[in-house]
Amino acid sequence: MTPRRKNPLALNRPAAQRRAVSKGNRASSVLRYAALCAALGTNGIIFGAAAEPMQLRFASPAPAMSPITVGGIQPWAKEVNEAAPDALAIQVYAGPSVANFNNVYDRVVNAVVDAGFATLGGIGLSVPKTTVVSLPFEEKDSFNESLALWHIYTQGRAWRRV
Amino acid sequence: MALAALAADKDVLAQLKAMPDQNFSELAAEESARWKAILAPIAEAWAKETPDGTRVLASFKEEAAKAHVEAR
Repeated sequence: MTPRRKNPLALNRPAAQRRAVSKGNRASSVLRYAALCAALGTNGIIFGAAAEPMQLRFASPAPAMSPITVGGIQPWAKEVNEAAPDALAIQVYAGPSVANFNNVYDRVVNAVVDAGFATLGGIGLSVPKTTVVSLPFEEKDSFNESLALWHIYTQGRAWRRV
Repeated sequence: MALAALAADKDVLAQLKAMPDQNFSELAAEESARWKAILAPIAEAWAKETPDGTRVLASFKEEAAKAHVEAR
């Protein structure tokens, strides 16, 4: 029998909240956690009104000119910034200088950045249910896999204990 | 994001197919069925070993099927 693995997000959330409360910056911590989850395809973000837009550092370990950054992350950040100019200002740090695919999760948890793009393979052992996408012949289209994974998470189906 | 990755995949595949000395072949239907049968125990083992694995796998299959319909 495989031993139960602990949910790193659940464990880190109280720790992050404690750090934030001690700094009087709970909203920032919650956003950081939520943004990480969104980047991992696992949750949504809750925004609050603010006089100044909240600066969010977003790490994309993929090279600055890669299709992921150019075609995915940069347009997403631009869209969000334009949709909520008074609330958010997402700054993308592309390339491995701030975070790479091996440490981007730790970089977010340790508040080096507020959110990051990660591939599940790098943290697969921490979120074992997500490895369903790796099972042979279950699905071969990455877009459909992403959509299916997102739906079963957002609907809360079979996902409460990652 | 997934669309960007998918577009990159298609672009690279098209580039490879345009190269000389490259051969591409699709898995025949009967061969695909044979491999699915051989590899089916992997998914079954995963479902047993993963917490809530059976429900996760069933949900994933259901949602992936819906995604195929949405994509069309």
